[in-house]
Amino acid sequence: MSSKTIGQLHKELKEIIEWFEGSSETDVDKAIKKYEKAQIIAKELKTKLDGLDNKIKTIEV
Amino acid sequence: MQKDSLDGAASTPHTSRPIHHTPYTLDDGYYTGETLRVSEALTLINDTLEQTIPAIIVEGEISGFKVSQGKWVFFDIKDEDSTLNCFMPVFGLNVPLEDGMKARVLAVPKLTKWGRFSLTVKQVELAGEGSIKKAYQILKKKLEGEGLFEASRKRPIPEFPEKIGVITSSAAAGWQDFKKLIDERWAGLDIKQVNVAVQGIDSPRQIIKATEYFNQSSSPVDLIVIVRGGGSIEDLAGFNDEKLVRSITASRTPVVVGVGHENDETLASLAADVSAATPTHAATLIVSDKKDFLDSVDSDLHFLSGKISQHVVDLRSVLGDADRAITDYFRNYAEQFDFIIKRLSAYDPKAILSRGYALVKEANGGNITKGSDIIVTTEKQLIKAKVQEVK
Repeated sequence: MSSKTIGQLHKELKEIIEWFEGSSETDVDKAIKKYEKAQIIAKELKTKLDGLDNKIKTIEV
Repeated sequence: MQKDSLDGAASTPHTSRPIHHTPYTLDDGYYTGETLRVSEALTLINDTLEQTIPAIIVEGEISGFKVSQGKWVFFDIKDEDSTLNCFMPVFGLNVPLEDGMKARVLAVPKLTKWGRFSLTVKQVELAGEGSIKKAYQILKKKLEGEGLFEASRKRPIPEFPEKIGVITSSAAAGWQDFKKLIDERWAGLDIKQVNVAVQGIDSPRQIIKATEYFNQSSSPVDLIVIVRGGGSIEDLAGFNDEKLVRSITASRTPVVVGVGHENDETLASLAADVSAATPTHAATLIVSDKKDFLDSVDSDLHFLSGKISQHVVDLRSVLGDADRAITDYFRNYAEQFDFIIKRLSAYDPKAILSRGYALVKEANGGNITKGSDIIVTTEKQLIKAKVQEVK
């Protein structure tokens, strides 16, 4: 699992989606590579959200 | 009072001497002990007050409210039987006060150098629904006039916050609800909670201090959340404190306020970047539901998969177009070729011969004259002959 935050991973996923939405390229190889990257990101997001707990600390000031 | 003591006091040096609290004993109706100057007596009384009553909370009705020189506030706080004088600097006044309002003051009792007993007020909290509502309207109008509640001042909160600063009471039901919902909805958050009083006269000061703590922290949070569950109008009065409202609008970090129930409106909520109706509502505004989020990620992947299929379809379409273009080109070329062939065929001598004509040539390529040898070509025969006559 990478050290990227959920926000960073989600941003990368959105960039891939934007590429697909805006691209007029018909380079299927490139599209497949981007799709594979999106799959990895999705898996990592799931791992993080399912595996991590929230840390709560009470402090007095 | 014993005369000797008075005489003794008169002969005693008055400056910078220690003031002894003892012995001040009563002896057959006479006081014995050291005689003090007036200022020393005042100091002694104030010291005694400070030790025995360092602070006091008094509730009563405000009367004689006035601001002097724009710097000092004077008023009386009274009940049916008694009145106490109150004093405070203007900048310390955190709620609008008017005569007739019911209020609680947190104050230090003090005897002034003019011998007048007064309360030096540190905090004021309104009491009674009527006073609170009236003060609320006055302050709301004032702060609206300054533009503190303008939508243009509101800042967005991060879509995926990682560090959250929560200001609430550890014992508050609202905090428990908030935590529970946050845990259900999202993961991986680093939450720091500052434990403060969420009602009572000192509540605004504690919340302001906690807000400052998060704003000045070397490990800044992505947003600050102030939460408290429902309560009476008096319980929530601290969230209408002017200083608290100003500290929220001055916060460098975006602030979410989720105080009270659905219909409770506080000035702190109006000043917040994001106002939530309740603590649990605040939790839903701060973080997404992870199940919904992961479902949307799946939808994104599905969308991408569809896009790839579309890419393939598009590619096939491009190849099909190319195929048709090439076919059309060659078909056109062939048609042109046929046309040329047909045109050429029309000039083919053999075609003429096939229609029964014959081609006659002088055998040696010269002119045909009488006696010339000639070659006659028909469709099927080559005939050698001699010319008998030329006309």
